[in-house]
Amino acid sequence: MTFLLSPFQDLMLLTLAAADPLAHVKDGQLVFDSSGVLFNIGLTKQTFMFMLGGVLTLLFFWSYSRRAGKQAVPSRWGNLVESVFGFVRDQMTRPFMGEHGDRYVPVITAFFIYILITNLLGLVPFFEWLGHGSSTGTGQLAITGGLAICSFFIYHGFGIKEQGGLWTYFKNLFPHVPWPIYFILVPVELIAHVVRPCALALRLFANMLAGHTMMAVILGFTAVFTSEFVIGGAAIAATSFLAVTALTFLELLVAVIQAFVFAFLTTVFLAGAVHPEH
Amino acid sequence: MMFPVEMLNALVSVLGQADASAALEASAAVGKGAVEASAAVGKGIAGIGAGLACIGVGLGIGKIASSSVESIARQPEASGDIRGAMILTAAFIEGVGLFAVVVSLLVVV
Repeated sequence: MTFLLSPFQDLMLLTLAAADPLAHVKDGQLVFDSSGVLFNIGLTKQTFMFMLGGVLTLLFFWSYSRRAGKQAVPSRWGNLVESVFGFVRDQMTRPFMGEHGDRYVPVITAFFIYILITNLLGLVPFFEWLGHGSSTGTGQLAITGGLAICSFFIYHGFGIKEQGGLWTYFKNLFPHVPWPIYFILVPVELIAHVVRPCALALRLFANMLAGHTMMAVILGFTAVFTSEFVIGGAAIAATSFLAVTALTFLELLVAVIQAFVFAFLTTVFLAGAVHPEH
Repeated sequence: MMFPVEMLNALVSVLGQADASAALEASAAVGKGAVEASAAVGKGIAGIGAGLACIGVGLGIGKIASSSVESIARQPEASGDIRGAMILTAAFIEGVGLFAVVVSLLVVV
């Protein structure tokens, strides 16, 4: 059974000895063997991870969707699913949109659960070392950019639908001010509307990338220092091991918080599009 | 950017070539070395920029922590709401700091 352990050992040593600290978090081919032969199915690592995240999200929702209204007292798993929806409804949608915003709870929950699951997949112990590739699905700007584009179309789309048409929505984007101010206000508001999804994408991407790069670099100190000084290297190796353990707990917290922040900001933009306060 | 000693050495090596084409190659090598040196300096300055961004992040998150702890001390029954607001705003400020880190990484790599 040692053949099951050896690909991980090869990859760990390759990654720890890599001169470039970002080699651990860049995308690469999905293989289960360091020579690229075993189980090569032609996908890249991050494509696989974000598709797996999608499948797990669908399973999360489908596991309770049939039985949702039919039992008086939900089961244990049903309680968990309902509490997630309750959290999104009470903490995110109701403060901004009131009772009227209950129709948007499934969309926001979908964003929250998908980003949460994909972030947490990057922290599963051996899974992040699999293949030549990267560590987190959301650690690639392409994937978080895709999520931000979805968020952009969702909030503008629901805003247009709620306010009854493209022209009404467009007029309500800019508040009613004396006409000379429009020369400054229109470019600033347009730039703000373009920059907000970019900031959403970049915030999630940078948090995931930075956390995993830091973990890889500090873990690499174990190999780099022990290869030069044995005793001092052992002390540094013990310290860096403890540091990486603490960092992993911090990364768990950051994964959950970033999923919450993405969903929360999407709710804020959605509330602004659906009920413009001016 | 080259130090004066290196400049003198480069000048001597260029002028000391007996042949015109050898002088041309030597000066091309000097130019390439200068370009590589200034690229390395650019990477160093990107590192300093990332560190400067961390000053702003540290100040911001420290201010959030101090005011939230103070308000929990004033009204302990609101501590749940205050804790939620504290974590949310700390995540925003950390996001801004990480924008600067991403820009530095773009320069370095």
